[in-house]
Amino acid sequence: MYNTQKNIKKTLTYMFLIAFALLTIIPLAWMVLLSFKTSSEIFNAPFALPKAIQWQNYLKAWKVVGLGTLMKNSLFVTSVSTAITLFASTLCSYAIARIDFKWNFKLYFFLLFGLMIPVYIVMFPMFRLNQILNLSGSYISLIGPYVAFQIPTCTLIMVGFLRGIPKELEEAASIDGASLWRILFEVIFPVLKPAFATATILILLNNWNEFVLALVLITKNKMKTLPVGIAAISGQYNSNYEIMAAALIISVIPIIVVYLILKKNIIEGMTAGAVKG
Amino acid sequence: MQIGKKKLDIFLLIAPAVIIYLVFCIIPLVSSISYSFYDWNGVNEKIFIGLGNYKELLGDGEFYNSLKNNSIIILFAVMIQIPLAYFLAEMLSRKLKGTSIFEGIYFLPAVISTVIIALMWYFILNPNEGFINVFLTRVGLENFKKGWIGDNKMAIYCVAFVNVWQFVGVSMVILLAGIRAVPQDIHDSCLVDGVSGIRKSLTVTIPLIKEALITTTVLSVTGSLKMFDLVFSLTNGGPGSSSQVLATYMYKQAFFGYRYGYGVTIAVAIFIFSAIFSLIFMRITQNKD
Repeated sequence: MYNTQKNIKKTLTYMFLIAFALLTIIPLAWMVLLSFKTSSEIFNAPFALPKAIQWQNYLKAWKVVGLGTLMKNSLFVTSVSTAITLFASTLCSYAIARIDFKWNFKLYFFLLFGLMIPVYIVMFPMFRLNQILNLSGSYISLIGPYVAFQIPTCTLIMVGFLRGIPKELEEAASIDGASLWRILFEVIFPVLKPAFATATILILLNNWNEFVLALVLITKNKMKTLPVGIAAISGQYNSNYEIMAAALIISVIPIIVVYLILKKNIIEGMTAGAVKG
Repeated sequence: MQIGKKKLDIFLLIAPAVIIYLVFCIIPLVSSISYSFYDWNGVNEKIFIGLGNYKELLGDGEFYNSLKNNSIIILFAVMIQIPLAYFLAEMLSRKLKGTSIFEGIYFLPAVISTVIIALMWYFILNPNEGFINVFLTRVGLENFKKGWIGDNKMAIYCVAFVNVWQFVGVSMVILLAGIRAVPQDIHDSCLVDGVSGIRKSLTVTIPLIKEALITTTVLSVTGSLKMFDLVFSLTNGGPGSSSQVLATYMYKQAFFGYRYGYGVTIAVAIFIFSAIFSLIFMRITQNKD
């Protein structure tokens, strides 16, 4: 009796979990289906499988939308700004967490204050500055705010992690007469690896998917990042669903591949800031 | 000598981060706030109008309309996303096979760019060739066809729904971590006392994971207040301005209406709202300790 009840409960649980998984996957699957069909198949037989898989949709999408350039631009902006954020923020977090000076806490709260600032606010002055300094042809206008806006998150993760490291680690090294910088590079950085992994994933994803600043600050077509380029196709290829769908599939593939490999780290990384905050 | 050197070291450690943060975050923040006191189209001479923009904002119907739409999105996040996330987390916390696969699937939409998510849902929710309406026609339920994102009453609910769909996995993971941290002997004593199901959730689990609940609430509320990408790419605020939110309204005013000062004022309003929310919730969590 007890067992049947338990089994029913288990079956119901699975049914619900599977139903919700389907709700998550169907939009993606629908897009895959569209991307393999011809225009007329989409119109006449929307739910049928394609007679032949239309691989050329992908070739067309790649060329017409210029996905290669968009991805290259995104990769450049994302990796440069993530590297700078990690470097600057780790040094600063070390000072906050491990060295006593008068305004440790004030500095920490000053940086964390940034978590509350919406990007919209910096958008206007940055847009102005671009016009004045004629920066619209350079990625500095995008990388600068990307770094500045990820510093608070990165600092939060790094300070949290650094506080958990035993003091003896550096004390031993400093008794041996090692300089601060040697301690930093030879003792602290190796220990920080897991925190680096968490922070890198979080910042990379945030920057890779960032839209508003890229939309406003990058005006040259050949410099656009992936989300901005993708957003523009809905107006241009409105009637070519198969091309749009193929372009969307190509642009999610890198993220999905990375997600499949690093699933555990990504889920941890994306919720780390939240849980610790 | 030693102290002078230490000061230099500290300076070198904090300078890069602080300088970048000041130049690209704090200084723009301050100058933005100062722009909000001007009537300015972004090109011509600025005209100082004091609190003029703020006064106009308080009497601006479309501002309230946007605020109402943000509230609908927040309501969906708090009333649907978080309970659903709790429900999923509760089920995944039972020792079943395949939980990590489900977790992986539910979290997936959160790593994909919102712009891509929006266009993906455009294929489903647009009234003409969208999946739902085509499906309803095929199965003979044409009466249930709706305008979805093309209908000025439904568009904002479509936006709120897609937002829940994208981020329910994040809330779930945060809550799941909370539930998993509940000590085993509490589960054991519940079993002994015969406390289970909804009663266990309400009297035991939810009070124990209060912190995780507050965290995900703050994240969803502030995220919904700042929403831009989804609305911009799914409905562009339309039809008309029926799904306009604060951030898209700001964008429209500043970059299409050439009302730069007014756009900044809306941005400042978004900042104030989300700061108030964060501070209230921080207060709540601190009181608990």
